[in-house]
Amino acid sequence: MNVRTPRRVLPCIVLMVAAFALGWWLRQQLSTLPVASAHPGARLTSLQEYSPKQSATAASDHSDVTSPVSMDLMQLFYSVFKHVERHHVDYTAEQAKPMAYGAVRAMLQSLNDPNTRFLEPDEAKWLQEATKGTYGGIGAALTVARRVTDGIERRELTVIAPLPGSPAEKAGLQPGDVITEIDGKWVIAYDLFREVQRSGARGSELVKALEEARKRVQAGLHLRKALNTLTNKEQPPVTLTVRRGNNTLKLKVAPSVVTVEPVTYRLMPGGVGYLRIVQFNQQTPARLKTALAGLGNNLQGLVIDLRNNPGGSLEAATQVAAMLVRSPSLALIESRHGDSKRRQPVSLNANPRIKASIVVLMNRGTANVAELLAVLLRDKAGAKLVGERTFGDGLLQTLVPLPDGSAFTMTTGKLLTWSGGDFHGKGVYPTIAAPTAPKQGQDLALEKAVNLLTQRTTSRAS
Amino acid sequence: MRRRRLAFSRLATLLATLAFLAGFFYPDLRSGNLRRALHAAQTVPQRVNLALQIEQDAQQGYLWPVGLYWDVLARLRNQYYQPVDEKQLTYAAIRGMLAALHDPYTRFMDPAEYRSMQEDTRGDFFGIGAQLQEKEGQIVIYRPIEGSPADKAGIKAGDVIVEVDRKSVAGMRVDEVVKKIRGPRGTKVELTIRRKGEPKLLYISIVRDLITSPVAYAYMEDEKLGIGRVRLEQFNEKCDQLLVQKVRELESKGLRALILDLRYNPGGLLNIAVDVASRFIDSGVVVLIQEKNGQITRLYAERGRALKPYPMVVLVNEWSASASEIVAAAIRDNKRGVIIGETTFGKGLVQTIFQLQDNSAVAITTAKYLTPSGYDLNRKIDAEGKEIRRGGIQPDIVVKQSEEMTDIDDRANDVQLQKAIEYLREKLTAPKVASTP
Repeated sequence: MNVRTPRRVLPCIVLMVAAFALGWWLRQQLSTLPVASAHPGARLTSLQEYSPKQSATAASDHSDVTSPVSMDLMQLFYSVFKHVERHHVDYTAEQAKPMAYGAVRAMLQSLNDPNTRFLEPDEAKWLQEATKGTYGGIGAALTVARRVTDGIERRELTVIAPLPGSPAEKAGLQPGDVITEIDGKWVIAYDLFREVQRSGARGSELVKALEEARKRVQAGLHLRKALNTLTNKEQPPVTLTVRRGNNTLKLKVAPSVVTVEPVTYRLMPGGVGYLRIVQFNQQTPARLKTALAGLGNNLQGLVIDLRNNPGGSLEAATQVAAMLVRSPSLALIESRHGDSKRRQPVSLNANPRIKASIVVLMNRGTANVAELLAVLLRDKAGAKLVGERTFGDGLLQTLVPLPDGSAFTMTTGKLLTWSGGDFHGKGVYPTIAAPTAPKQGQDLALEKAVNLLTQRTTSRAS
Repeated sequence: MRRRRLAFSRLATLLATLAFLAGFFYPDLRSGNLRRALHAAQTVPQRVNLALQIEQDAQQGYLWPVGLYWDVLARLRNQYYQPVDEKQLTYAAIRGMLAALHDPYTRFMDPAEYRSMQEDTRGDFFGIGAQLQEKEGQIVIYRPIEGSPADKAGIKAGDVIVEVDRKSVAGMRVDEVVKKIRGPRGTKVELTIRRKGEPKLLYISIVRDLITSPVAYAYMEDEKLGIGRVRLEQFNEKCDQLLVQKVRELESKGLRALILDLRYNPGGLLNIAVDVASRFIDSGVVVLIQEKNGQITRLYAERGRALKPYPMVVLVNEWSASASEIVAAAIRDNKRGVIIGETTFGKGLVQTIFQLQDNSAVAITTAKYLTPSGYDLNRKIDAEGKEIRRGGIQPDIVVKQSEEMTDIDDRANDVQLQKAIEYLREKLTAPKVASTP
């Protein structure tokens, strides 16, 4: 007996370990199976991120996607779909696609975040072309800006910046313009019915107001449709009603296709280099390299023009910053980790060759990563910021392509300056304020910038 | 020795089972969430089943809505810059998915909505006896039931409800307004009404009561020629019996031609519609029921119930819905009469309610009615509320109602009724074409 027991204990322990492992494995299978098998091609590896760093963290978070609570939700969604599929009198297989799109669109809309929205395959294609520098439509970077006035939340279709050579620029659209009507149709900016209710109108006044509200909404354009119209290259010419400050203008724009040259440069009298970065797309870093080589090493000063630069890819901005300024990081990204927030630096592998002093030109059309770069140049390269306060768009948006060609954009975090400054909704202020719009063919802001650079060199020489 | 071995193997089995369970619940035990552990244990068979089902369904390709929904939800959950409420996201996704069907009657009810719907149909509540309908974003009285509190208080068809108890109903759905109007028997509700032709709003107080069944009404429109009219307000159990009673009344006054007035009739029970149609059609198809997979069931008129084959006109308007539309179309398609009035509402659908796991529910349109000639009478609207198909029954003679008409008993201004009488007069007085022997 005494001899035999240990012999039995060993297989018994093995058995118990095996049983434990089996239980654990089965549990894992149960909680991951539906996701994995629903569409094996759709894991996060296909995620195209502006920042490779983000994508890595996202992938590691994926492990806890399937808790029992979510499983119940999936089961709920699944049963509704199954009931429709089995019992709805008009259901046909062709409806699976609009139903899928309808579900995702409504889900994203319920977040009430204008930057988080679903893109059907054609819209997704336009956006992806845009990240390569080709724009269809009016050729302006647009955003849906949220503004609260009198307790009513408005979502206004706002121009960040027209692109150089675009129909929007030719028509005279300016940064900050709010597009209120397209071909006379109101771009629905807020919940009219709620406003009528809040207006305190009573009795027949209320009835009249409601009637009018209904008519206006029925004749209006939803934001999605408005955005589609303005990004469609096949769109016939449109008349835009634009609010600029307190004025209302009507501008006629003929949409077409614009390919943007992201970087232009020239050598100015007095040995000052002029470098314009129009936007941060996939081509921008390579073009900048060429431009810097073209300007040579003996610059007296460098003007970096970020006016009307709506931003773009964080990745491209990172590479650009690395060529211009020595700093361990470009920015901080504030993102959510579970229920808490965390900040991660976007690090730079900096190797700048520029020794000249820098002046940055900026205006209201300078947005997002362009704002980050301006701050970084100011703080780490001693650059002066000349022009106007910037747009103040500090949200990090990620484009997530889905396997069928559709996609969605989502706000994944907030961009903070390298030192943790939050410029979202505030903008970056210039060190030297100057009007930036060219007047009678004269670019006063640029002249000011050149003056600053040449003065400094002369004073140094003396 | 043998007993010991047995005892030992039992012990080993027990220990192995415990080890298995420990392994299975390890994630929960580690996180210390016992409720979650129990829940996980309860739903194991369900989830295995679901997993297998989904495995099978995954073959259908990516666009399958569940896959897309799940993918996007997972990414929002992990990467969205603010915490997300997955349940609300899921409810929103379900609503968006159903909206893509362009069928306003297929809808999702969250647990609270479903509960209140059940309360409504249980009949614990008392109302004012008026049917409501949403029309272009407004809540409009369909028709007050005759003799009901609403009728006695002077509510009229076409009245727009602006407020209930001085609270605006703007933007509310019909069921929400109905819920506000209903309440305990004997209590008062005040409606703010906008009425065509009245410059001021009307404030009308009504005492809630048990609503008795609506009835059928008979009118002799032309005593000389014997043109009578029977108006049906709704298709309920008593309807068929009352119809016969009213026709007999008219017959005693010399009935020779009949107007069946289905204006403002929102419909009701399908079997009653078949019974009523059988009074006018001796044999033939009354309605087709199209189910999923296109399978069509024909409902025939019940033989031997038909009244005398009087020349007939059916009066309809845009508030004639469902069973009304079925009866009107059956009479026309069987060549028993003509339809006069305006294009009808366009609703011929049957809903089934499916209860879901978390006590939410989904109402799904499981069948639809087609007229005997195979016409789908359903109106269709898209996700933004714009009409993509008008549907409804198109009258043989379209007559728009006069703006002057104040309510359904205002016969002097009822141009639709006048047209019907005129039509039957011609029919009765026209020289008869000799029929072939």
